[in-house]
Amino acid sequence: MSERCVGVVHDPRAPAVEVHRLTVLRNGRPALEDVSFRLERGERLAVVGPNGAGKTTLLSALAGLVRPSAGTIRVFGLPPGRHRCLAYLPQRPAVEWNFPATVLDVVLMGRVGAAGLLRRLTRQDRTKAWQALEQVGLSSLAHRPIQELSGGEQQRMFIARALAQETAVLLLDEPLTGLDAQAQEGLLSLLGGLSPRGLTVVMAMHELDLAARYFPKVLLLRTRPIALGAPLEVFTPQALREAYGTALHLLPSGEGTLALGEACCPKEP
Amino acid sequence: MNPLVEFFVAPLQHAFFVRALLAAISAAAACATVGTFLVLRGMTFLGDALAHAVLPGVALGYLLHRGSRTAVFWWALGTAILTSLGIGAVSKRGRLKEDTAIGIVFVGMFALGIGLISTVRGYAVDLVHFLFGNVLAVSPFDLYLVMGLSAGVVLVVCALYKELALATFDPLFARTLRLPVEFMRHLLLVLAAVTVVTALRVVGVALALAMLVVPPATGLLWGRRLPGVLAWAGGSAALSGFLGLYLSYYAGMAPGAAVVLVATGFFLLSLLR
Repeated sequence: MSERCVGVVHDPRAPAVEVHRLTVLRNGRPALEDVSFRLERGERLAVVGPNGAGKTTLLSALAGLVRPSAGTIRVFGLPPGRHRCLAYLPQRPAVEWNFPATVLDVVLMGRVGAAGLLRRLTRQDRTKAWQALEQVGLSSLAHRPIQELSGGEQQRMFIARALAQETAVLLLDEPLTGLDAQAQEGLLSLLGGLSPRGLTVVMAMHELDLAARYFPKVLLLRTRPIALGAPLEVFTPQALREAYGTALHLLPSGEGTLALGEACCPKEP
Repeated sequence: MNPLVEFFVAPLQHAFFVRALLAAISAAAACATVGTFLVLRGMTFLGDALAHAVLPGVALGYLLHRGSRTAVFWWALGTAILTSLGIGAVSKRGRLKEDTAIGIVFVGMFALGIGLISTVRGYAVDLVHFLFGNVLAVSPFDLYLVMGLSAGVVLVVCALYKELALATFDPLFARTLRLPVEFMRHLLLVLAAVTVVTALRVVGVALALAMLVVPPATGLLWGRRLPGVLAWAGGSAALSGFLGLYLSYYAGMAPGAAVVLVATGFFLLSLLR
């Protein structure tokens, strides 16, 4: 959230994220096609769409882990591969959960890039880690082994690590999956509270209702962008049908149109 | 003299015993340090393969420089580093699963080693030394090598501690921080190769894996954070080296086996805690 990130000087006039006609091929087939959008500092974008719509591909490309086949990505005016101020939380963090570490240890890992090779973490690094824990409300669990955390606490820990990293852009891939309703809303209001401080958020998610309530901007995706804008403009019956096809059931009701995702069977755990 | 003091002091009058003791302690501590990272990454099978794959190098050094133990040492080190990098490359782009690729390299190299040694008449005695170590025959020069390499390994791990820890815990995050994750994976393999060669002197090819795996496993049972785990692993390994040699001295047991038995004893005691 600082003006400049470690190792890179930002163009302060450039938007936080700018994606122009982005296409990513996977095994010769487009996983993502012709996506464009821009986010100013502190904006929050929800990326929604059916499974396989390219949500994860989009986030990986923004994180600089997947190369665009065509089009450009700019984060504060620079290609994404050059940033330490960009944090990516994958859907299932490929983390060694047996690793002997406390919550504070993991959050301190956010400072490793800034500290640089062969340098020890300083008192200032520890202060930043504690501030990050404070912001996500995990200070009381700082010395708890990571194996003892609940799903929601794990997500908060990784967000704290991103904050300790002084990230300016936070990419989250379906962080709400597996959380109970209370933890979901807790996480979303936490992120909402961070955006006035300049944190730009891109979140892939399935929960359309939460996207509509907590995000000022939504991108509806099915390989190609189907709609982009405020939730009310995006979630039209026509756009939803185009994105979800027969998986979606639209019912007229007193409160407007009601969208049902899986009307048949409960989701497998 | 107090009998307990006498028990520990008596063997120290032999210079060979002191050298063996120092070699065993430093090699064990280095193995435990690198082994902890291998165990956390689930790379222990690779460590085992590495230890066995060193045998043809040892055999070649032995055949080409008959009698020179130091030459054998360098040959072993070279083979171990080549193999570790080779396994890294094969497992990365091969169509086989990693453990299959490792298994093939492992048995192939081991067979080649035994085959080479068996061409020498009266090979059985020498083969036993390579397979089970011969720490009581460590020369002063060998001791300096073992201690120098062990210290080097521990220093490298200390210098890159936070990067190694991060790349072990969350490689993807390390990549987004632009840390050289692949380089560190290979570095860890090379460090493992170096420690295996030091362990070779103490416990031999067959038991080198024990020194990479058992003390870290003990450490993981005691420590809640990585520094603690490393301290417990290194401490229990060094103590195993120390007590193992006394066990070997008084029970007339092969020193390598005695060291591994003590380390395993520590692990079992830790389980009961």
